Amino acid sequence: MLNKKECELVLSHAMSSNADFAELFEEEGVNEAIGLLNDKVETMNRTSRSGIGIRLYKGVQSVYGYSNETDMDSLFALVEDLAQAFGKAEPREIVLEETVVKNNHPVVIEPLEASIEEKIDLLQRAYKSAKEVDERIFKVQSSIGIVKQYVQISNSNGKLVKDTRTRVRLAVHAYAKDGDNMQSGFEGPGASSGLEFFEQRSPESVGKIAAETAILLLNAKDCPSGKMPVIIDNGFGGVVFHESCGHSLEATAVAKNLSVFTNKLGQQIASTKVTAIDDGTIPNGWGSQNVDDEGNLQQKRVLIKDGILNSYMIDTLNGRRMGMESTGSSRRQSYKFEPTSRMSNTYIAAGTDKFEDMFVGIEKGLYAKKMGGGSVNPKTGEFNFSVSVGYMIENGKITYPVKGASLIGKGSEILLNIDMVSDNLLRAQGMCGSSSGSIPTDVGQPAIRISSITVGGTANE
Amino acid sequence: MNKEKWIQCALEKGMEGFEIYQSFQTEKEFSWYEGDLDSFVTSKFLGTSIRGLYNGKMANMALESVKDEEMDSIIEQLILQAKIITMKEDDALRFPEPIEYIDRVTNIVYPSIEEIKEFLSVLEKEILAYDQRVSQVSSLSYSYQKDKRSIYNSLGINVEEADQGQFLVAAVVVQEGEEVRDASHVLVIDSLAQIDREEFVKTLCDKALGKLHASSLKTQNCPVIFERGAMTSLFSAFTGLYKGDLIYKELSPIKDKLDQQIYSEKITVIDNPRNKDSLNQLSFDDEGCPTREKKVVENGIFKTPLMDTKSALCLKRESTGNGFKPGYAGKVGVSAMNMYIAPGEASLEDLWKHMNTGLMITSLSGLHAGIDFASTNFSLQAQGYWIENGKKDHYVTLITVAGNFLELMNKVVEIGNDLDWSYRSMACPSIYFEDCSIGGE
Repeated sequence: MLNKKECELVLSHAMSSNADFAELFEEEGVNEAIGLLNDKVETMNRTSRSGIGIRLYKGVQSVYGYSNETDMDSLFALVEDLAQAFGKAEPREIVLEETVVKNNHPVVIEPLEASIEEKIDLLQRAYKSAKEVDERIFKVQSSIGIVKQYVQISNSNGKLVKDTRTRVRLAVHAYAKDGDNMQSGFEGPGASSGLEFFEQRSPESVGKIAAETAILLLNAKDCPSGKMPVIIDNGFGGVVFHESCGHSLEATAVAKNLSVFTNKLGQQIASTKVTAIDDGTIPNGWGSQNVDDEGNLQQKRVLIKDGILNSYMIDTLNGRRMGMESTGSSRRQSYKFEPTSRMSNTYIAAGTDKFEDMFVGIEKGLYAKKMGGGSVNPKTGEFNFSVSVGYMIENGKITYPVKGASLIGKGSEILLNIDMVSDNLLRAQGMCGSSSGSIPTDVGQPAIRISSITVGGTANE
Repeated sequence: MNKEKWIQCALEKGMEGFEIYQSFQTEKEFSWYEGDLDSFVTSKFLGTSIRGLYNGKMANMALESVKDEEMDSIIEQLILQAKIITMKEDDALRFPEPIEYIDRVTNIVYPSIEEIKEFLSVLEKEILAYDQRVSQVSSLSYSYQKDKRSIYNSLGINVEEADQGQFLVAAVVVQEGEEVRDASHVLVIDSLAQIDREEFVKTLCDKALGKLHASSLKTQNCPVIFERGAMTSLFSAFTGLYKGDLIYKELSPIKDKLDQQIYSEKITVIDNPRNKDSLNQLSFDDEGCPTREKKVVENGIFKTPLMDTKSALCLKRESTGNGFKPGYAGKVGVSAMNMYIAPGEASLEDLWKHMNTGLMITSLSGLHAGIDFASTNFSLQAQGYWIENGKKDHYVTLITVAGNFLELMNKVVEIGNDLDWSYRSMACPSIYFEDCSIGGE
């Protein structure tokens, strides 16, 4: 990392142009991954990351450059390259003052310092637990991923902030086979935490869930298609909100009028049962940070309050275009990406309905027990997500498991069609890909009921 | 990085082999928005990854900052990593082999910043002027990328290859009443001067305008044409089927189908990293193995898995030159490169006529989640056109298409002749299938 004086020199050089803002994002870190196939260690990979991203603004124009050559001559050359877009101006001297940020995400067992054997043992435990579920489980792939990221962010407003991020995630794919029928199940919890995370979320439980999913799918029937009521379970079911609405509330889409929710603040965009939150401050949350990737303190943002649009997720540059303040939502995968507004831990708040009551009155519907991922086109609001495990509901009762289903619709409509929100809020972990790279985000919700949505399956009558 | 010194150090510490892979990339991208330069991104990046064999096991590490003074501790860490690998299968580094380098005659002319700004400015105005329903140019950018990769190992491999490309990308939003649609278009170019702007604007805008007046469909099974773009997306999602490592681990659904009929006899699948029509051509893979053309599926019969060195050792066969990294930092794995389905005789219009009534799918969404590789089941969001009496009728959206890939590939009626490589490293012609399950209203 550069020292304070070096940061000041580079920033001062950058501001000797017509830019009105300059920022340095320095990053060092290590990614470690260990993978097992059944009980054998198959791979271990380590990546040491080190580089810098430099950004200049002039009004709403931005220029961004990155490199892993971080000596002063290379950085000056990079700044020259960037500044030529705006033209030269009188020299300005930048003086930095460091702000020390409190760490809200403490780590007890440093995952990179723990022995390799300890980490392999976690994977072995997940494997054994998966195998014990059923003799038809024939392959188990498990991996542990560790990310340690040190960042230093400084800018021409005099800001100098440091942050350390530590993340661990255990992922298990279990494969089940019965004759020619092969199915797989997945479970992958993680946190901004050390290895102590696996004391509360045991590897055994992770392996078991992945294996049970694969076994269940061996017996699942094809899912029918058509419009029907759907109950989406808690936890990863929150991907529905993430895709159908979350991306369209990011300033990246809103600022350039590329979102169906542009200019809708204060208007009802969801059922009055829906309150939605994006909270980057949850202690040890998978998508949490102490500061965002522009060095602003992370915040809890109430996006939708009782169905009314209350806030967007805004980064500084898009905030300029919108005439609004940053909400501390600027994130990026690494120094190789210019940051922009992104989600952190996004969820629908708990409601008051009881889970059992949600099935009452459904003649034919789908209970989406476990969701896969999804995607959205913010311009049209059209989204899709996959259901990895579902059950048919017939006359108010769960009847049989189904596979191979997806749900599609328009974000602006689905939010208004949520007619029940239960009280069993749960969060789950995922990776979200967008213009500033792939970042860890939590999704979450209590079980919700959508009165009507298009289900796509293969069992057409 | 003193490569020779690193190799020597690794061998002295007891490694049986050691390899250094480097990837050097420079990029520039200019984006234009509402009459002005919106953003400019520039980068220069050298990524280094090392791998070494210890007791037959391969360990990998990637470094963004390489310091020769840290060499000892890094190699010791690498040995430690190799020691924990307990898989019984061994890996190997490759010896040098004769490589026939692809002749890269390039006519690339790089424009000045002023020329780029002028070009994007004019293009944006022309797109907006094309039709009053064009409401926004949501994305407009020019970029170039120069890459060089090199491999240096203790068995004598010392190879490098460079590539470069320039790209023009535009996306447009059209609106009529409350209905909003969008489309994008990408060109790989030698120079800005070569671009037929009128043609570019027409292709882009017509693609978006053609989506207006969209409706959904009733849930049904019907004949389906996967237009080449959608077919390529679906096909790409299942290239793992042919991977030697997944076949060896019994995770590929076609693991025991070698020399057996897996698809309709109308289907032939070819992998050719040297294909001059595709976006990238590679003379050797990321292990230094020369690349070559091979028929993976011939007339529906599965002829060969794709293999890197390790999976070839496991399957007791030869590498097919398909050992590629998913980026400089990842470990070598098996990957298809410039794979395609051999085209047929019929034009797209012929396929419409032969189908008469049915659905043509032009794009698919949700491929990262709606695919179940183990069962080859898929359920995806789709868009396309309803075909009535052999002609395009209206745009269809908010539907799903679902099925089983292996079953679908056995329901081929006819294959189109419209293979298009333009900016792709995988390609399929349009294909007409007997039927598929469509979910809608």
